[in-house]
Amino acid sequence: MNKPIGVRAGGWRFLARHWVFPYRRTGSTLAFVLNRWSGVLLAIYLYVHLGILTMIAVDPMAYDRFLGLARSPLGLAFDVVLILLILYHGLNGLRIIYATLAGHIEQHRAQFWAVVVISLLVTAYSAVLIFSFE
Amino acid sequence: MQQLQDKTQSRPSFAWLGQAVSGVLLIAILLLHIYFQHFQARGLLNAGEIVAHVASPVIFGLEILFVIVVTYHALLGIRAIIFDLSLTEATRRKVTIILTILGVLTAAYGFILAILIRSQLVG
Amino acid sequence: MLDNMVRFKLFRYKPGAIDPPRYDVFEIKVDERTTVLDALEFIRVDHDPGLMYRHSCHHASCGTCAYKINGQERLGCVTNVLELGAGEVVVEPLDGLPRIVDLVVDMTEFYRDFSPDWTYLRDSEWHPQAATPAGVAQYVRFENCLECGACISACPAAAVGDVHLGPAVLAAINREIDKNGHGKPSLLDLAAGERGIWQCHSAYECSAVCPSEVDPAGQIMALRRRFITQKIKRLFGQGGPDEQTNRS
Repeated sequence: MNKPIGVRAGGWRFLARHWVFPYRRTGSTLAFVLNRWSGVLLAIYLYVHLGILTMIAVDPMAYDRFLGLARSPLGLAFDVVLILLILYHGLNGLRIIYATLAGHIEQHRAQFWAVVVISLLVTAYSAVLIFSFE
Repeated sequence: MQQLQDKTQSRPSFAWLGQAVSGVLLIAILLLHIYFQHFQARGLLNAGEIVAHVASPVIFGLEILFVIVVTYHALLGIRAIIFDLSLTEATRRKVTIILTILGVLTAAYGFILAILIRSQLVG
Repeated sequence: MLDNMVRFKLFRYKPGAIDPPRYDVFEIKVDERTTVLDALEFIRVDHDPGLMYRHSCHHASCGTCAYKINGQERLGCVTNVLELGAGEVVVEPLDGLPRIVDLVVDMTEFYRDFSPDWTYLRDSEWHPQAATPAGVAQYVRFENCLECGACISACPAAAVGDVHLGPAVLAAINREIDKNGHGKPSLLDLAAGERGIWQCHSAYECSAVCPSEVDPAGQIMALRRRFITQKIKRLFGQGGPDEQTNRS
């Protein structure tokens, strides 16, 4: 087999073009990028959440003090963003499973925008509830 | 064509299918978690309310299942991202082992945390 | 004919000479019929004979002149400059394959994954009422794929490195199973292996940029369905190792 010659494009700029800021790409690449980033953020949040819950076991008073921050407008806004990430990641995941099992990928752009719209609408509703509770 | 003699294996399919199945499960579990922990309670619970909440065997079971499934899904996803880079087979194996250990530790930690929180009700 | 001056920004790289890479700018006159490949040829003839790029048939049959044009993979021979609607046309080599010089990439590893055992012919979609010449039973034609590499360049999984067979090869595997599945049971296992269908992240960019209606994304999803169906059948003790020659 001939060994390939030449230099493969790479580096952070290359990754940014494909995995962070897709340029001149269709909606589905944007869907993939958003899915990946929402997943990474949610994975980080998993450990943050476990850390916060540790306070209940170790020092419940500290947790109740933390609640003051969690109930602030900034804290509630964070919860709203979290719900958006969860909704988008989950619905887009379902979209991918549907495309695998049922095909019809010619509809993928419409499906992506439907996922975005539903996520935003449900997040908006959740935001109203969240801010009304506190 | 040596490249066509790739080992025929279905491990990558297990990862994808595992991700899909855990994802679907997570949607159901998350809906229940968010509803019971936040919306039914109409806001954020304080420490005492959380302890009382987790005392319910159903809620306790749900939270344990949640931490196991979400850890599995999250770390499989991280593995998929790492595997997209040009890694050797040996490096991939190491990454899988490290993430598996991390996953087991995380799920175990979540389980122990739930037990400790629950035990506060008795204490 | 209406002439326009258009700015072309071309990626330049020559090991040992233009290294690190840079972009050279040329302004040339184009008309309504000028394609990007025409423009490259004008530039090479009139401005810089050192410019290197691949081309062959000039009519979208060979797949040789695939480049990234204003960020998107296209065939230069059929991309009309004025229809791009941009004041500046940026031409770069494909991603996902090693760069040799200027706009030329090394297609070796791309071609490596296509097996010479696969058939490249398919039934032709000719009018059923059309008469064939004496002695000819039916018409056949080549498969759609030009092997241009546009899909590899657009794929977020394949573009990073040699970790993915890539949309073109996977589409070829599905077509081969469609046509000759019974004789080649290992093809589905190859597609489902470490570098195969499960690396796909459903960006579907491959189908968007394919100049030849191969629909690699659809083929990859079809392979996934074949694999899942086969596994379920085997679980229930049905179905042998051979593949069905059903179109998906």
